[in-house]
Amino acid sequence: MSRSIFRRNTSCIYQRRMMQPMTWRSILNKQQYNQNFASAANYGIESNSKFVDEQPPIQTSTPPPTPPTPPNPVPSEILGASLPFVNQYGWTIDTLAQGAKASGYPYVSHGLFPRGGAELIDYFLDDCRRKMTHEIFDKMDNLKVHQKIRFACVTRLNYTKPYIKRWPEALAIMAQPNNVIRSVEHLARLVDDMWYLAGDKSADVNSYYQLYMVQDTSPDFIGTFQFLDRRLKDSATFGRIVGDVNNYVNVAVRSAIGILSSKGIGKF
Amino acid sequence: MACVDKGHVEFRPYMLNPIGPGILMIEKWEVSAKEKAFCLANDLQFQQVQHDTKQEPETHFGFKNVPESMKENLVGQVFENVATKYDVMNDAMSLGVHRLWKDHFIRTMSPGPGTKLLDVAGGTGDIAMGFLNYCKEIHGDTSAQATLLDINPKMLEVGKNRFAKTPYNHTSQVTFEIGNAENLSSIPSNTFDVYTIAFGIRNCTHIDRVLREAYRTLKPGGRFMCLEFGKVQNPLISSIYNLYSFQIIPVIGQIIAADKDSYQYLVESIRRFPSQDQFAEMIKDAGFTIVGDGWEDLTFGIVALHSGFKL
Repeated sequence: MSRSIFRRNTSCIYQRRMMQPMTWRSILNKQQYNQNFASAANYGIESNSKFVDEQPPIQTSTPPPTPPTPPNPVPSEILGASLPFVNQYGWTIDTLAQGAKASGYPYVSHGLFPRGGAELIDYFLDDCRRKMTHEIFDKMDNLKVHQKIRFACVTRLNYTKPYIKRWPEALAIMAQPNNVIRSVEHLARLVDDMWYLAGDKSADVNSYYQLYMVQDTSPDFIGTFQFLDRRLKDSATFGRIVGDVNNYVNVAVRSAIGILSSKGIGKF
Repeated sequence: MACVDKGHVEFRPYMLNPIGPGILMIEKWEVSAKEKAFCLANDLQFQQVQHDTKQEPETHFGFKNVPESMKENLVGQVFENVATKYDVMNDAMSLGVHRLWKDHFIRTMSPGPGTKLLDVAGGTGDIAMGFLNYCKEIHGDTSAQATLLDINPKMLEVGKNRFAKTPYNHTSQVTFEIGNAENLSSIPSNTFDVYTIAFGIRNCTHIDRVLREAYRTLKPGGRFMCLEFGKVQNPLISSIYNLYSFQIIPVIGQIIAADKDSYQYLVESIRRFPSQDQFAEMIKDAGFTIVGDGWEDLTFGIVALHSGFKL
């Protein structure tokens, strides 16, 4: 991280011009964005930001970094093949084993996923996030921000529909202490993507209202969507009235996240 | 140091007493197979020092170095000696913890119905038995198959006797085979779902050959699993562990199995085995895909569970 920052700085000096931070940010955002689409079916949680950091956005005399070794396609193949078995076996290694058998591998291949069901949930959430981005990307031109967010949420919730009977189990697994950080991470990414697509480039505290909504899938979908509408309205009013408090919390959360990531806990 | 075995009569240099009665003292005793093995090891080491012309590559046998061709026989002798007391000794030395390690091993594997297991260095059949029991109890399955392979007929005999008392006896669920882990020529490629080797790979002369054979015999997607002693990183635990290994285990060996040397070899061979990360690297080199670090430390790293997948 620090190495790449250093490299960028030197390259700036080398080219004898300074770039405004905003320009940097837009370049970085664009790259991250492209990367998101290119790696639609990557296995596990790939670290996009790391990849972007390693790639100097302007031409320099330093050689380009060696590309990361491509992930083995077999695990994601097995994970993808496992999803149809979720309703029968739940978020368990049995499901993974059935998925492995369906892809022509032995039962014991489930050992590729030492965290068992949690890894299947990880895959599912990542997969849904990517599918959502693809789905809504070019359909939001004439919508207002809150309509865009609503559209994104509805699209995303619809992906959970087929597994709704087993979803409480997934929530229970995600709430286990060793999986909590990862769950919050998924949520943060999802919310980030939604707000990015809605046109707001900042991940402010507002966006974390979605936190409970996206994960709280009640069996009554209409009820969920009404709840979603109410929350969206709330968040708008609430945001206007207590903007100051909002800012304060914003700073607190950001610094907390900063401290956490500097300690190496989670990648935000 | 050289000792020559002539049937049951043994000559040792200290028996030659030039200032005594002036004749050769010959002591007649039964030389156990164990002693033969260790005399052989000592002799060979002695010869190696004396004649550098012999160019055969050496390997370790405990803390000693022996020519590669000898190690197999020496290890064979050790296990021939301890075969009947092997299970009792395991309980005594590990204070019963080896059962927990093996249970964890099977649960990590979590085999399903119809899984085909090749248990190399299967010997007394702990892993194969645990595997079949797991399939029966968890899945109610009687189609899982285990093949026990061991280089040592005496160890395999103990395993056979043990299975003779179970319902698996004379079914297709369990088969026994004598064979060398470094050359499984009797087994066709892509045959097994799981390859296990528990506390066995340490005794093989060429670990890389064993791993290559494992890779060959596994089906695509199959899992290589190895339970083996590792290195303890924690200095405090490590010192206690060393004390226990070198001071207590050989004594237990002497009391229970009347064989101190074999258990001296055991603790020495543990120290000579590569560390967890080195071994994980070897597994990777054989072609396996490993997940994460590739191993799991059990009991502070006294034992490590290594895993690799053929993808």
